[in-house]
Amino acid sequence: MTNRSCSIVLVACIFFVHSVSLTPSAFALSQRDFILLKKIQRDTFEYFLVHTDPETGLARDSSRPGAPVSIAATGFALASFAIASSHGWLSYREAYQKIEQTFNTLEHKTPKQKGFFYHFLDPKTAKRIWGSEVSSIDTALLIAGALLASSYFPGTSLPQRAQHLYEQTDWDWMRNNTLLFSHGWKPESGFLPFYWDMYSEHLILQALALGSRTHPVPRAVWSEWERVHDAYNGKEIVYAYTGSLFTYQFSHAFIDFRHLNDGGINYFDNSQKATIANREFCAAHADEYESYRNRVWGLSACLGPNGYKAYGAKPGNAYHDGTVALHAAIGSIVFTPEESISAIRTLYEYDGGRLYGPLGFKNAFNADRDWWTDDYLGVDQGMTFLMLENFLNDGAIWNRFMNLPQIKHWIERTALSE
Amino acid sequence: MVGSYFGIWASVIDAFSQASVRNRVVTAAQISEYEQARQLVSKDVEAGLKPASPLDNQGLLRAFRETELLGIREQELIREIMNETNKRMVHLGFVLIILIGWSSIYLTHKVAGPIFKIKQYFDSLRAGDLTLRIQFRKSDEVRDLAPPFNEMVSSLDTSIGNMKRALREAPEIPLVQKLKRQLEHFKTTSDKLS
Repeated sequence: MTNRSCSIVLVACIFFVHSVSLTPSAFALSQRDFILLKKIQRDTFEYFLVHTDPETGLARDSSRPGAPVSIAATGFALASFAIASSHGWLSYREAYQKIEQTFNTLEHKTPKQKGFFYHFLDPKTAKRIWGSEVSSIDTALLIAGALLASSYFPGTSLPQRAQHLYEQTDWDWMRNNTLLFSHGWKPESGFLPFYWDMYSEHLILQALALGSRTHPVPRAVWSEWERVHDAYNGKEIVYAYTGSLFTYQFSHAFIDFRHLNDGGINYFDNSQKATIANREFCAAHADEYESYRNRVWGLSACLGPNGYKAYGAKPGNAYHDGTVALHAAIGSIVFTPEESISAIRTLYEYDGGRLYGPLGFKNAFNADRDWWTDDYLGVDQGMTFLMLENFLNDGAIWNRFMNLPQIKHWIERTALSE
Repeated sequence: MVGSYFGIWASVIDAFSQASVRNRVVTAAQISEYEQARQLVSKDVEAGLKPASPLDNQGLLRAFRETELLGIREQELIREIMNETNKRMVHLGFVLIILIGWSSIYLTHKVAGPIFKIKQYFDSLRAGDLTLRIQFRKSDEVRDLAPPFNEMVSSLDTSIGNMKRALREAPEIPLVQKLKRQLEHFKTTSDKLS
């Protein structure tokens, strides 16, 4: 057999395996879509190569010049390096060194409060900047990324170091003597007056805190936040106030909610319904906004003509102005593969491909206002990358994350298991 | 020192260049928008404790927050530059202390040492020892003084030595005896040889 024949057989085999393998929703991918999604995942990963500081290993909040480091983006960067090594986009050694470098910075350079990290840091010095807060959700995303990344390097010091970062976080302190987690704390003014009191991306924070054995929080913390229901087009949804799609996606990038039952609520199904509602909301407003025409959808927090806004659909506040977040449809690919892939194809080819750049999909666009950006945001890149990994590799992240002892402990304590 | 001076100024100019200031203004706006977006994720909004729409927060309040953020960042930058300057000053201080210490030792060895040696030599001369010759190291600052000085002392040594020898051969009259007693104070090279 010639080399060429071998290659054809290999590609055919890979395609066959991916076509028949059980993606999270058992959706069969066409070869064309598989290649496109793989390309998007690879290009999206490039963000973390380009925008991670070579000295501190911390990832920038956005691709804009002068952007600070975001610890949540750094969590996604850690995860992406580990995953990239599993695909051969980085060698095992390169990925290990990058993750180790970030761990060194997190352990020795970055200021912390009770194990929590400041939201924004200086890329070079790793010190707190912009008077930012010690952030509960961003620390949770960082630690989730660290735990996930270290699971790709068993037998090295990384799992132990990630575990140490996790164990030193005093989740209980962040409650500020209530049963809700505060958004954060500042040395100048104490706890922020905002709490995670509704459904949103904070489920990852809940999971890590309730799974902690070193700084355990009361079981009642899980039931304290409100599950507010509302319906849109006949779909009953436990909704986040803004109706932004990212609130239904962030925690799901790590946690496999498919088999978890929270008193009759399945958050995977909930996100699926919220995504369909988001799509239908856009379709319903397609006459008003040119951006939503041609079955384009995706209302989520993103940059826009008036700056960064928590765009969203019903149920919820549903603030929208024709700005479409390009990561929104991809972030829901595990919930609604068919609808997401259809949107991805449209967006990829939109207006001669102007929405796609060297680091994957740009952050957003608004055709009505003739507003286009070349910027990328770290957390959106991270979520796109992780969700594609779950979708293309049969829930690879979920399988690892759900096996973490702290996640098992959370499920056990909250009796979420079916 | 000059490098540090220019280094400090370069960091000030860079921190307050047009591009950096513009980037900071945009970042302040973005961070303020992040805060607004996140604060909406709460049921407090429904209770009317927070704005119900991102648009409600535009205008004066938003401008105030952005200005506050910019102020915080400017303070941080100035603090960073001051800290960096202090660090450089401490480093420079260390270098200066080492330099002063080294130059003190140098001066002691190369200047004060030879002067002390000259003083000792003059004391010996005063005591009448004409046999000594001054010797400096090649690197001593006053080494050029040695040859003419040694020449002068050598000439004295020879003259007084000759006078002593002549007096030894002269008849022992009172004047000669008086001169001999006067010259006994001087120790010459010829005394050593005889």
